[in-house]
Amino acid sequence: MSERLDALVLEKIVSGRFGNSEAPRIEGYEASGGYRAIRKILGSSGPKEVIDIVKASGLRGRGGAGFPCGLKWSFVPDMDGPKYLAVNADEGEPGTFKDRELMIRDPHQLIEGILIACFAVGIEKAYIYIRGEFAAPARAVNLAIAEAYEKGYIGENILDSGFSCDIYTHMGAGAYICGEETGLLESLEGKRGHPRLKPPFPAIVGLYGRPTVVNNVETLSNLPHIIERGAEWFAGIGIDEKNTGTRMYCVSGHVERPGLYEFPLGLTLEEIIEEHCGGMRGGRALKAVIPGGASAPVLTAKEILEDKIRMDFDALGRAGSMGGSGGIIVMDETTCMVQAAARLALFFEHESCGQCSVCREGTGWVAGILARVEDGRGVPGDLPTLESIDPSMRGNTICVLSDACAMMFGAFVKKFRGEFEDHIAHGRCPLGSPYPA
Amino acid sequence: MPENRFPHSAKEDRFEFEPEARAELGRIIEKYPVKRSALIPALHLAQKQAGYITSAVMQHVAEIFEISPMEVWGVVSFYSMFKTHPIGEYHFQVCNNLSCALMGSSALLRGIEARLGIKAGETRVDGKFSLEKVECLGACGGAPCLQINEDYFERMAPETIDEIVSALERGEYVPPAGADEAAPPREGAAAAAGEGNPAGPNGAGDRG
Repeated sequence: MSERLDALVLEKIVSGRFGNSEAPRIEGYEASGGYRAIRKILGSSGPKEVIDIVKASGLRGRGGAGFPCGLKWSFVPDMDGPKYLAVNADEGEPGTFKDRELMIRDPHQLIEGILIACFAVGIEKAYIYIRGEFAAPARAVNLAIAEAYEKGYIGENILDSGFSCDIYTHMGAGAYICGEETGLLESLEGKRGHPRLKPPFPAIVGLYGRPTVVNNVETLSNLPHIIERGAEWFAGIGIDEKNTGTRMYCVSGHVERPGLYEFPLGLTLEEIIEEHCGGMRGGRALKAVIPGGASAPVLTAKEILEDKIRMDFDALGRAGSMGGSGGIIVMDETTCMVQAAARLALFFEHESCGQCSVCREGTGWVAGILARVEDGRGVPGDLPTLESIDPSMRGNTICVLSDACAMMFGAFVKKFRGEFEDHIAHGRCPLGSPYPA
Repeated sequence: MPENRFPHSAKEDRFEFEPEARAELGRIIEKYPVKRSALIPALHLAQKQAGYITSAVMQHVAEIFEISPMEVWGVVSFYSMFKTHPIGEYHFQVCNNLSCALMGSSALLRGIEARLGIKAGETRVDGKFSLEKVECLGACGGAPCLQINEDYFERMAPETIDEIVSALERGEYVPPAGADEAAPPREGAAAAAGEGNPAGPNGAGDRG
């Protein structure tokens, strides 16, 4: 581990208050330093200054794409009329469960982050789009909003600064695709969550046709800390200047201690599994890991243990995968890779919005073929068929759900091809289908 | 996409928001510069009142929003949380995605099916229970996860099903620890916060 990371491995930023049971209430949040950042900028900074701080911090979006946050804000045109912030709390990427905890355990941190973003971009209305199933996080956030209105942190003329901002929650109703930023905006407008063709990007034409920023819960939760402790401090955490700060890593699957962890960007996946999550469950051997939610291409044990892949945005990108949403799904030697791929393909089929035929049909074909191979009914032409579907599902649709499905099964087939061939040759799952649907 | 069917309802089917719900909808509509944004919240309110979305519900909601009932149906049919058939008083949803599958969700599902006497996708004839297999609930660190109505029950072992269902049959509902806003930290979260060195999950994921 580099010294830069070594010294900072225990630094908690957004989960710093997770052990504090008073933090969800406004008194507890204020007592632990909360709402100091918004007071600081309202008193002395201009919006431009805030954008510059966030740019200098190197903060990248924690929702999936890892786009630089300050840069995203700076695309919003300086024009009259309403602009909006849509907070993406539609957490649904399989393997991901961080935003739920951030909302339950530290809802005021999110609210303060929202206020900072709105101040920087000149926004007076923010909508927190919360996934429909998240009743408990919504209760926590609604309570926090009510408390913050009461104390004058939200509403008209906040803390006598002249800055006004309203924050509302909006519940989704069960559709993964609404986590895609333009699908989210459609859904927020009361429609089917069909992603929009881009450009124009939401920063120019977003909610109700107005300039709109869409930011993830974790991204926003970082802002109070960046404002208070400075861009330089934040940029000093993480492996390099393009991968700064920490990430919430959601570890699930075959480790001794699954759960939510916060680490600086750039730890190796091996360190996370072995040193922090108690190693593999029952001492079994590692087989594969999905490092950033279901859409992130799978990594093999060799890539993790020998190549020592680091969990920052760019290292994962170079390895042909991605940091995605921070969902780490760990699989041991007893896992059937065909079955795992088939399970995920079903998910993409279920969640395809149906707009683009490539995705609507492609996800269904892939799910059908993978299920057949897993069942022992695969035919020798199945792998070539999958390989011919793969490129046609990339770059040909309105959003990237289709690409995500192709990246998923493409990596499984490429890296574990022998296992697929065995299924077809022997007409059954060699591992006995450990996880029947 | 969710497999919803258009609910052709009986002629006597009527729906109108109760005054309290109508008032709440009014407050919700205020939040948005464009009324249509309140459509999904309105459908949530209607489903809470009627139990599920009937054609009368869609008719009524369409009138409020001054759109066609088919446009409302277009939205209803898109979202998996909107039900067009009756579900049980206690609606069980078992996550079926990869993280939960790795930790034993199929054994959990089979255990629930056996105990309730219904298959996934069905509602028990007494109307008390229904069961559904769902995609990722976003609680993968506590896999396998079961949702009963609004609450998440994490690290579910098949052996605990009988206890939960028996209690519900007696009319006792015990919410899971951690369903509250000010929940104590969960294991991984506690580890992340540097508090202690908690043990791993139980044997729920062991495939027997």
